[in-house]
Amino acid sequence: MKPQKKNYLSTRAFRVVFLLELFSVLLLYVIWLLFSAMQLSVLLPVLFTCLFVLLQLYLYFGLIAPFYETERMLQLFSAEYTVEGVFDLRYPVSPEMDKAIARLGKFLNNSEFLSATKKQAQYLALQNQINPHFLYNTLEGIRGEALCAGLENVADMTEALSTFFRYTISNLEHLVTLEDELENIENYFFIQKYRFGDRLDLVVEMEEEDKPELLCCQLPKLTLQPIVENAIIHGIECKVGKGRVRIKVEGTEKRLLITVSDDGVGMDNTSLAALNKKLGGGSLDYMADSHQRKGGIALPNVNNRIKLLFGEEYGLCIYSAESIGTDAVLTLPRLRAGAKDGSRV
Amino acid sequence: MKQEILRMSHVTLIDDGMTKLDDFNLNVYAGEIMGLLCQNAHGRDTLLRVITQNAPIHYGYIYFRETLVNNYRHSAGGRNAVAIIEPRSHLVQDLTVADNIFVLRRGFKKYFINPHTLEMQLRQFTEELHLSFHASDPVSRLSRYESCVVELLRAVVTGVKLIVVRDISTAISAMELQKFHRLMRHYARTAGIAFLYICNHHEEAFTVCERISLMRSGHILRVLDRRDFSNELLWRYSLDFTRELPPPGDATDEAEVLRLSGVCFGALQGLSLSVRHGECLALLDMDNRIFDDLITVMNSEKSPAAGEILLDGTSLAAHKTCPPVSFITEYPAKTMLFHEMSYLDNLCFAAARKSPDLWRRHTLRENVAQEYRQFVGDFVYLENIDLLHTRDLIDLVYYSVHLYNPRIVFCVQPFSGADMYLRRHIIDLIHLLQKKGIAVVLLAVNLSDCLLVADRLLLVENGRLCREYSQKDFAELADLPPH
Repeated sequence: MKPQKKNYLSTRAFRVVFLLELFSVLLLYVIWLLFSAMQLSVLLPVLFTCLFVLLQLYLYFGLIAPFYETERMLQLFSAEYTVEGVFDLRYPVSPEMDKAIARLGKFLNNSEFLSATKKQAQYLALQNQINPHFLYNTLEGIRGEALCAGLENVADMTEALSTFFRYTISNLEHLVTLEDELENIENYFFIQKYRFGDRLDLVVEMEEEDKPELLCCQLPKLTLQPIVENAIIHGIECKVGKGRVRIKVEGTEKRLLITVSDDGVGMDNTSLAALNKKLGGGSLDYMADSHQRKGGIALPNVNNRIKLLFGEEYGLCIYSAESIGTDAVLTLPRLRAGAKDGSRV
Repeated sequence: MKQEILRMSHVTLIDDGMTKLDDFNLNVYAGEIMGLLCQNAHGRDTLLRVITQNAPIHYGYIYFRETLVNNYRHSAGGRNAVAIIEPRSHLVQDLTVADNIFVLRRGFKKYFINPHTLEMQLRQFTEELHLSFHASDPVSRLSRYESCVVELLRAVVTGVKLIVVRDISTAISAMELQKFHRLMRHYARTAGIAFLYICNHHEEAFTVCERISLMRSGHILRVLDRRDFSNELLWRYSLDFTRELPPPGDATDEAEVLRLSGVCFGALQGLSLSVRHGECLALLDMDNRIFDDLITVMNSEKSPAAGEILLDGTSLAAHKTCPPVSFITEYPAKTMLFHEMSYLDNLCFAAARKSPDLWRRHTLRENVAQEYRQFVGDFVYLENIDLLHTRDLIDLVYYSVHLYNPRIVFCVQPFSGADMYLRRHIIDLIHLLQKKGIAVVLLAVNLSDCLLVADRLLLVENGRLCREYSQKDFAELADLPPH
């Protein structure tokens, strides 16, 4: 079937404006001709010309420029650059159109979108947890048996695993302090060390004088762990020899910057560009079924949670080079302990 | 807690359908010297336009001192408190130093200016920093280094929070660069001014920057901390600049093309040197003073006050009608070509001095076109050279010298303003000239890249030769001031 040709209102409106413009120019030209033929004073034609110029300026700044701004926002939305922009237009086309977009926004509203990403995070966390209490009790049981048998290593490992699951599975709604998040990372690392031994090393860096204040900053729970896990699994695990994960924390007046670097195998340019594209836009592709999905979901998931909670100007950015390593730079608003979910201080 | 001066987040700028900045991220903090190492020139000018003038962007957010000044939804277009120091001076040449620093600035509202007061004010700076110029000196009399310092002082006086320092190593000598770096560190430490140091060489950036962002095609590849500063890491991002060493043998066997013995003229104070057939010699002037005078005497415009210049064993004056010496000036694509002439005419222009028949006989020019077509392709038949890129224009300059086939060619700062890809290409062009037996003298004020192509290096200080290094001694040059 032949696709139906769309009759855009904007095209029609511009056609009308163009015809009116043409008519005004012709009218002006006729006025000039008449007045010069009749050898009358040019005062009136000059006045008309000035009026015409003013009309053009009004038309440009009042209609054309706002129209293009709105058009650009819609283009950026279509090109997956932004989600926020389209719901926050400075010049909506009409009140009804504005209401329609707002209604559409409600369907896809941030909280629902957010809960979808949270569900993803929960899903990941719950994959190994059919019944959390059953799991905790079992782990405690193993730990007890290990201690009785004098297997301290097994007992320590079981305790670390139990602590890790408690932190991971508990309520995902709340923000946690950076201190809690780093403790969880250290715990996670402790477990991974049993697997990697001396091959794996973790360094956390922050300015000593800023440390107390930075550790109190809040961030969404389980923000760092997926990034560190990614660094280990995709960076260091595939590398021959020792690997190091470095977490660098910096704070400015309004922002918290966390850089997770690894000296693993890195990524090729194509994979990096694809990943950064995923992180850049408000795409939900990463939530597709696993067989339709290309690449992992951990980093896009963290990124989208941050963007939805705090705005598009925050989030994750990845730098990588093959056989050099990968840096994941996380930008967050600087929230102090006591701030509610999503509110900025 | 760090104080953020500039933050560019996910900035994308598309100009004429070409992505100039691609998901560009940059953070610069107060009191920090942040390096921006550009592997190619793509997006560099656009970046400066965005930083200084808040040019409209396609997507992203730009914060200046933690305030959103530009984003994809709306660009106010106002100017940020940013100064740029680059090889091209931004000072008014006919005014004095004091006028440039204190009078020509926004917010200066006095109707009557007391030169004595300005002098007193400037003295505070010059004494603190041990600077030699005076408030009443006209800017036109200052050296390029002093001009850069005046621009720096003007930025400090104006209360600028971010200073962009761009490619200054191509304009000032290695010693001056070292002094300028000291001044930058001083103001970063004491006044909390942030610097964005844009350059093409990591060796130069390592000496002064605290962090470095690597940029290629308008995109940040990586942000390096000081602990990551290593040649090995940077080489992974760069093109292969390694060179094959020639087989062991005595290079002194080659015939001497040029000999200068005790030449005195202007800044030249008894300069003596020799250049051999097909050799590439780098002449590094530590004071950045001798090149104009050297070119004047080599061009036979004036005779030296003392000393002797021998070309192929005979006096330079004897070659006056058609001297076998060529010059390739700094930024040759802009200064050495005739844009109203075709590619072929530009190619033949120098050679026509040797054989004027080139203009009269079409067949000769056609032969030249055929010969050079293997190097430059169909460009050789191009009528309008304005359609060419910088790289192709530089090709044209070097091939015109190749066709002219002089005994020796002087290249003034051949790598000025060239990105990594162009530098690699210029090195190939220099090798091409050498292959034809043309001796090449690189006149440089900094070492960058010269060592990659030179067979020998001569250090000149106070207008005379102070040290000579052969290729095998180049490793010792790490002790020299930063380059």
